[in-house]
Amino acid sequence: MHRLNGVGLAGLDRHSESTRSYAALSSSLSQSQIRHLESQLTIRADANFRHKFTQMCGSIGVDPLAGPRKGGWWAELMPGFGDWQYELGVQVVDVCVSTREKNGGMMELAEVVRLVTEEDIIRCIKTLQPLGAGYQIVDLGDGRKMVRSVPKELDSDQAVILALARQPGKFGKITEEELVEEKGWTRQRAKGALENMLIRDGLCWHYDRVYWVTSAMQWD
Amino acid sequence: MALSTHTTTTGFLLPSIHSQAAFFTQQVHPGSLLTQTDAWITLILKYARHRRLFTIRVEDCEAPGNEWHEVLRNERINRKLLPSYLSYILNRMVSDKVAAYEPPKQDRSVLIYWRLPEEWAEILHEWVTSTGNLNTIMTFYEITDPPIETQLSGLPLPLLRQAIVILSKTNRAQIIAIAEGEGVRFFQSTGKT
Repeated sequence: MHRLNGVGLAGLDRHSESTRSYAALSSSLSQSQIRHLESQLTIRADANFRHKFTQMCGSIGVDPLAGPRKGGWWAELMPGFGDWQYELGVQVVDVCVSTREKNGGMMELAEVVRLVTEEDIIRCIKTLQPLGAGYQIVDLGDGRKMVRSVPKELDSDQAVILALARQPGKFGKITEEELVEEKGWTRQRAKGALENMLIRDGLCWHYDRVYWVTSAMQWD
Repeated sequence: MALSTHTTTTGFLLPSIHSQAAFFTQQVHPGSLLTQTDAWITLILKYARHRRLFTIRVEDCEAPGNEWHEVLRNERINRKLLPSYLSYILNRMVSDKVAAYEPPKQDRSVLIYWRLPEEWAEILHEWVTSTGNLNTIMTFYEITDPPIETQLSGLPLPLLRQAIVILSKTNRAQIIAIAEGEGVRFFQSTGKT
């Protein structure tokens, strides 16, 4: 395309001319896509349908929300990131549109978060895996799940500690004694696991011999 | 036992993290320390703004009963910040440019920028303009100790001086030698900054 443009001022003019036309075309396309999308979403679709829909959009190179431009630096570096954003975006539109009759088009953010289901979040996190940053759902084994965002393997002792620290009444606090008494660990095992979490992984804070798991800490 | 917020006697709302015993112990993991120090800096800046405090010293965590008492200590959990960690926090504040060592060439005491010098400069210029003091010579004392309290009341001299220097760079102020020492004259904004 650059070769066709020629050189000099005329070439520059032609270039900006075509950039303008592309911009106009793209904005009219996105607008019609949004209208189309909105009409689709007034029928409340299930999570599965939404997933298929965004996959379809992705495969034909259409941006359903006219969101971040495709094919940019991010998309090249991290395939899957765009999909994740579209997917989340489509879900937000879906939730907002389907509750519009009840709330008149204004919705509390916390409510949006609640309605984007756990299943959706788990699927989103799976699409983040190509990032290589360790995004993964860790099952604590007692019905609770945590989102991991560090590229470290969580060993089974750490999973036990995380689960124990999050039990009601513990408020994230954990000691060697508790692990020895409640889990039947040897003192060395308890000390080793806690110190790894403290010094190597930064998963807890300490004061003397008492440890607090940061994921259970309250800040504000 | 559960962490919760706490309102101090001066009406400041301490965040939940302030009732966390480990918050007062300098953490070893670099990532944890970064997060912890960020939380301390936020807390110090907010409290300084709340009470209009301009100075914090390493010693403030040792001597009880000073103006920083209710932040640097938590008597409900019997914890206080250690001088070594406070010194580390002050150092971070200086490198983050939210504080400066004052006086210079020591590292035990800092001037806190809960407003940046640039922000003080704008407040100063607006105040001078709104009180009709443009083009007249004012003493520093007239600015920091006016009969009716203003936003600039009690502003430490080093901070006032910095604000004036910032304004003089855009030709909006000029320091002048007067009988009592130093004075300053302010000019209208030229629009060219």
